[in-house]
Amino acid sequence: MLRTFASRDLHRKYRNFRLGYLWTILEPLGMTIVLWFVFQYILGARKFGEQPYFLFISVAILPWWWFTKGISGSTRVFVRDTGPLRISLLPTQIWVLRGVIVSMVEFLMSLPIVLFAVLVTWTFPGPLIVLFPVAVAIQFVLMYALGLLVASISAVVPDFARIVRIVTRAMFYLTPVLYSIARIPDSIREVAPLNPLVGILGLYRIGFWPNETETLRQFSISFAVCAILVISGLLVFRRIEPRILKEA
Amino acid sequence: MARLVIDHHLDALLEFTDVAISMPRRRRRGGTKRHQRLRRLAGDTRREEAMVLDAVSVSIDRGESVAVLGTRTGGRDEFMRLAVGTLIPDRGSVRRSEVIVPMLERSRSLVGTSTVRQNVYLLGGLLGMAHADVEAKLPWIIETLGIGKAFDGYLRSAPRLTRQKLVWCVTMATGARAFAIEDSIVVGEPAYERRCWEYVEGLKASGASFLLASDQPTLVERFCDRALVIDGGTLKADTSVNEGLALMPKGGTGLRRRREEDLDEEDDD
Repeated sequence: MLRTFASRDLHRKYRNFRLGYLWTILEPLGMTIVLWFVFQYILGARKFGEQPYFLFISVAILPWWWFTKGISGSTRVFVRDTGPLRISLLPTQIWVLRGVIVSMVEFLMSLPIVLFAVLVTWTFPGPLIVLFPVAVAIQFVLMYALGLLVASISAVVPDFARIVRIVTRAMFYLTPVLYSIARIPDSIREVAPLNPLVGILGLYRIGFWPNETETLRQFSISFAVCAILVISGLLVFRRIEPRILKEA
Repeated sequence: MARLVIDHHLDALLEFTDVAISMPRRRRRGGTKRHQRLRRLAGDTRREEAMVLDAVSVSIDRGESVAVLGTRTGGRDEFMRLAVGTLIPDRGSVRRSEVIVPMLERSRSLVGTSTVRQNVYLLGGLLGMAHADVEAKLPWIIETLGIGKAFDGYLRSAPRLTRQKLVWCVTMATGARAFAIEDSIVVGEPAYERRCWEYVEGLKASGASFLLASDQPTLVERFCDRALVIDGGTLKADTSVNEGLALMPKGGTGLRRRREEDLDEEDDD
């Protein structure tokens, strides 16, 4: 039934637009071009990331787009339209899962932007590109668990949605989306992998820049944090689920 | 998942053991928006929990048709939701040996801006039917619903009584052997009701179980073999239907209010 729910959610989201599903590409493409222009030309005196920079941004901005959309959408899952929860025989987690799936489908539909960047910059990936789908899988699991965490806390603490919004905005600059981890000052480079997205973005990029990537230690720390967040999300949801059902 | 676990070792259909649950009670806030915001910041959320069911222990066997009598605010609604598994008790346990399909709060499950066909898939999904199950049952649903071309039209512009018929058809199409039903076990105009009666009585004769939260005496007398009277959050009586009806709390039962809410929501769509 997830397919039914997800396709309905997608349809509802794009049915009012004349360009329909094309917006899944146009929106992140516009964002990528703006960022590329600002950081390559306006602030171009200092190199922020690897070259070609347009490809460098494209590979990371799409997973980031997926992350912010999915997590901010999770804050509303148990706040709006909770009526069906009162009669649903489906696991409560499905309400979160369908949101994560919808945002993942949008991410997959926007992947032609990476192809476009590859062709424009004429830079082709190496064999480590096989880790790209691994990164998608890890991000999916992380987002599901974080979605459970965010959705359940937002259901009982309405202010939490605003905190999430501030945190995701801050994370945009604290995560190596616009810059590579090699550009982070040595003094704080050791703590950067505590951000779970560092390892995931590293996996997305490793196919294109195999020598300019995170170290094995940084990957390990980042994925360990991912695992902790996944377990926390599942436990918190399990604890709050009875209250969510009462509030429905 | 935890709330929907089926206990195959359980002999009875449903077993409540010392179940207690409190529910949030929302009270209307007073004062200006600024005052409300200040109160919220001060932690005065004006929300409180009230115990709606306490120390409820009861067992229902397979094949029984049980009337759940009482007022909405007396714990009847929560009893039904706990039986189905859409609520988790604060204390005690609710075990069930089969999936109990709900036909509760029907207006909440439908979307007026979607077509009748889309609503069939959505409701079927909510009731645990796989996409293929809905596809397989679709001819029966279309035939039983009997609204012709309106099946592919928007639900909000569908013929009168389509909503209740739609919920009834999809609930029965689940092929479940146990149902938790609110208000009425039969729906539609008199001719349609007769068809529903034939169907549910056939199901009952074949050993299906029913929990019926209704305060229509004639309906309860005709269909149920046993009555549970829930009032003030406790199980007042587990008795015969006639005695149960005699013990039913006097005053508003909430049925009329619920119907008005249904109509309001239909209008809102």
